[in-house]
Amino acid sequence: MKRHCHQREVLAVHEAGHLVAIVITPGLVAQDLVWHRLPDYEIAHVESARSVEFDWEKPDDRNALIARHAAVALAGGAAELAGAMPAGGLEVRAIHAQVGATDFELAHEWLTLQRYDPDQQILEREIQRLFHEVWRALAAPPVRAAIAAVRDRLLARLGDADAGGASSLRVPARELLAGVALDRAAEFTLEATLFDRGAAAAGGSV
Amino acid sequence: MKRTPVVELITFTEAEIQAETQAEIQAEIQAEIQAEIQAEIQAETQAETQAEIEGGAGGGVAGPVAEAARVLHGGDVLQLRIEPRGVTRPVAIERARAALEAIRRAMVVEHGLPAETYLELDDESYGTPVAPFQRRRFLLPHQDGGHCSFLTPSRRDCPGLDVDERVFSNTVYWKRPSHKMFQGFIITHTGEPRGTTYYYNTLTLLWDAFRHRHGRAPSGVGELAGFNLDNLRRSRAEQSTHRSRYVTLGALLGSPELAHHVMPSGPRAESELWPEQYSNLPELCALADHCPCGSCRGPGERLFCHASMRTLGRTWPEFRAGYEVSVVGELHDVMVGNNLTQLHAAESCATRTIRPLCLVLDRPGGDGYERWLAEQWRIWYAPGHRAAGEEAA
Repeated sequence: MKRHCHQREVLAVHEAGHLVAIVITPGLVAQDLVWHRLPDYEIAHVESARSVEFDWEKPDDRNALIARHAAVALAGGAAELAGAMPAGGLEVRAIHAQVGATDFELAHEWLTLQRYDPDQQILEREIQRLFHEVWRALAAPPVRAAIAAVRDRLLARLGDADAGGASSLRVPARELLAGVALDRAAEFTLEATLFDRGAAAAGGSV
Repeated sequence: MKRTPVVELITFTEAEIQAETQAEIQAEIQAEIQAEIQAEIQAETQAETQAEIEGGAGGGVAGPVAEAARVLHGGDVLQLRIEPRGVTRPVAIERARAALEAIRRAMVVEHGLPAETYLELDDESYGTPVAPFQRRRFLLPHQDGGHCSFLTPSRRDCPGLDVDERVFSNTVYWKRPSHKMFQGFIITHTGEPRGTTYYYNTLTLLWDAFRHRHGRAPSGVGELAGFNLDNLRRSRAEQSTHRSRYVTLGALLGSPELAHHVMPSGPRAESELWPEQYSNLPELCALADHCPCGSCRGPGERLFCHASMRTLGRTWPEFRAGYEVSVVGELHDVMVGNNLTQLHAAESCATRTIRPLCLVLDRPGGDGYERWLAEQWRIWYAPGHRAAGEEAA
């Protein structure tokens, strides 16, 4: 979700990026896309659910899910870049601008969840790494084609909403993904933000 | 009534802590012996606890343990400082644990705290998660473990309450799903500048919200308890819409606007709300963009400002002026407050660390809990605390 998006095309690419990222990520299941027209801007959001093979109560599953949720949160901004990533990648503040405050903070929140002494720079490095990983996953030709297809369908549905005077819309993900075939094999993991209980226990006194 | 809690600083000495630890070891031995003779468990606990209190140098009705227990039972905030200072972090944590364990035992014996209440000490220190690119954060008023730890009436006042209604949600919680009756923490790194903790009396907020809603004061604890339960039930009934896993100020005080039942991330003043929250209740966008006072720092704080205005007729700055007490803790100070009859907030920098120590139950119910909870409501409502013009009808 990018709350202050005024350009319909950008909004559609952004949400298509979220949706396709969910589809290619094991453990997550795409639900509906929700759109609202507000007085000053539009918002859209793709809902996701956890698939049954992951158990939140198991630490390894939980860490995997946190990494995947964080990556999916960053995927809208990554999709907007399409194939046009600068040679040196993006710095974290540029990523914040690219994905928008709402999505960035959602990723940040997921990464904070399992850390007890969150170092802000470590969190930011993790976001930076995950952002580039999800960008690479979305930049693969079949995935880019899927994003384009979803974008076009979404724009068509929003055009219908405009014509009908609707101010909100709920579209099942399967409608936007009809005929799109993607491998569900994207791998996103925690690295810097994995909590090391042993190191923490050995970590000193005041 | 007691409009605001009072923060009381109580100092323990090393000797008192050591004596308490010794008493604890003796108590364990005694418990084993008692187990061998298969004494009735609850009677054992009572007897053992009584023996510990009488045997401990820091115990007894006049010592710092008893004083600390009195402060907590009376609805106030305990700032516990253990002398001598300047010890290592592990020593400070162990002393804090021992002291709070002694206080727990005293509260069981002297003040009717349920005997099953236990001390929950987290494995690691907590850092201070701040919003991206921030150096500090203001944590808005909340209850720790607010998915299953929040103010409810006693079944003595609301017999229709089901114990399960004391759980608001049981998914994706942080840490353990224990019912935290008293939340506390030891400051393991103060950060610079040092953090400030703020406390608010939840029952006072509830009373004022009733008055704001109905244009009159509640007739007494019973009517206020009913208001509390109705508000919680309404929020739970709408949970599929607002999707909050935690009880918010707006939910607790009965805001009819579901957007006020949404918990900001953290819940930090500076933080954004989550995409699903905005998409589910798009009216949140306007609430997060502008607030009644016009001075709030971020989306989370602006939403809180709206909820306060709707339920109490006060902006967030007015809320603070009317209900807040504050304390700045020093290194290794232990801060403890009632997590049900109080909300707490905190302003601290990213380098501050704390280690939570809470007094908890696994399941908040049974005669002992209901009796204790009913008394907590009445301590707050006691005529000695009641302000002029607020006597029960």
